[in-house]
Amino acid sequence: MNRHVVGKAADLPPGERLVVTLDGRSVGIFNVHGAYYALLNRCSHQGGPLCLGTLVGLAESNQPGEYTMTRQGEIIRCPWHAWEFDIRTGKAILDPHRSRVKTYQVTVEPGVPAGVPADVETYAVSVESGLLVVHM
Amino acid sequence: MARVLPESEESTRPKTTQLIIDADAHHTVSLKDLRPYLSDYWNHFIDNTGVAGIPSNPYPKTGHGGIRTDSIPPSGGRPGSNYEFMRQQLLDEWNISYAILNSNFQMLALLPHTDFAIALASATNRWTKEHWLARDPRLLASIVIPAQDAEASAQEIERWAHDRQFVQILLPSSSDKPYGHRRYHPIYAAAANHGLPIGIHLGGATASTPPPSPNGWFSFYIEFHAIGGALSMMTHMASLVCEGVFSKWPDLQVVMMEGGFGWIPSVMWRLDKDWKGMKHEVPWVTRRPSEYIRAHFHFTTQPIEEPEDPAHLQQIVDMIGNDKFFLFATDYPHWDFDAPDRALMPLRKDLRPKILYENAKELYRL
Repeated sequence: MNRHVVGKAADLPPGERLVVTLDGRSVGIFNVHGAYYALLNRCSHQGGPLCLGTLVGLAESNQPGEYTMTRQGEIIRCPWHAWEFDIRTGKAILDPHRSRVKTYQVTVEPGVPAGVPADVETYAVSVESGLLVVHM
Repeated sequence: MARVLPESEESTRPKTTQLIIDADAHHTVSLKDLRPYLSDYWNHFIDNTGVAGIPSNPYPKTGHGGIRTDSIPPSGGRPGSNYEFMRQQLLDEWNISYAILNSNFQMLALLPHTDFAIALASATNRWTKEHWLARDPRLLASIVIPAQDAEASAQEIERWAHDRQFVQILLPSSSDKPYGHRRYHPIYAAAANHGLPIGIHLGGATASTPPPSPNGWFSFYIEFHAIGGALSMMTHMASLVCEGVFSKWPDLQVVMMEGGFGWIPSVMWRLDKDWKGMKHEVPWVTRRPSEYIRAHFHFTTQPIEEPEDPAHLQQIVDMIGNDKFFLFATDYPHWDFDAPDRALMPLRKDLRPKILYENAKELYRL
């Protein structure tokens, strides 16, 4: 695990983000309500620049015609096909009631995934002497 | 918003060395751009009426009106309106040998005012030539035509048929009649005369078109996006075959864009089955409908279907039964863009270079 100092914590206020290249990987660092998180900047769908997407909330409904929006700013929506991921965990938002997925005799290649969408890789972020440190 | 530190050298190299022809990309025109290409009369018409554009699809679309939200040019303007940014983000980033530009003004074919449509079509093609094609030999385009007037459309085709950067005719999937109907035949005559394919590209439903489904208007964009295009394309496919367009023009090719393709085997089977007993109704259809479909149609792959079991996608391709059938497209800069290095992964390895490059190279004679 390497430590990467990416800047000063004070320069990344809540709701803001920073996208940097670390060890050849593009990574987005987010301040969500005062806490820092880092995500790989590559959507698990078709590889789009996830961390350049829109910060959104979670749209839910109890029945057709009712809409609620919660958790504003905690979810990143990919600029391409709008897949959403929880910034804090990298988990894909869609298909929360994950059903069992058939297993297949196929070779796994990087590409559009079958079944349940993959989560996005996350990295630990710590603040040390006012500096943001990404661990990867 | 997002502070992005400069990319490393490595990430600005093309993402793949595979040769790619993008069979469907979009350069963005606005009415303002066309004014230098319109007569005094039409400029007066625009000033007097205050018309700002052509009617658009009433469904509010995900992604700021249906675009990749990372495709907004840094220097401003709408996605697809800036050549330098398109060159960087599409042509250079993906090692694109050729990209075929299909105009956002294709829907002028549904304007009630035919003469305005004729003027706009001519202006759009001239603007495309000067501001896009002339700047980059990798850029090709479809000829926009005022399809509501087939004779005027044939004349517009004649104007551009000699230009090797104009590689096909553009029709929107929205129309007042299915495209096999005789009213459109002068268009096919002109296209066939010059060996140009007919491109039918997804068009939205607007204030001046029929509704997007046979049962009226969907409520949501997701419904329109998932099946609206396919409904139109199915209609046109059946019509072109059954009205005998390929009997009249045996060399005519049709390219369907953004209509999906998972439904094609079902349509082939249904038409073939019915044809066996109903050939007397359309006696000019002398071969099985599926043979015409296989021989005369091509489909762009975007937005590619993503079945839960990826093997099913190859099965659909096998059912259609023609390795030359598919043409890869990105649909840049729209939100449902397909990435060239990922979208075709479920398909057989040997098919991918054909779909990414060779099929389009052969069809468009590049």
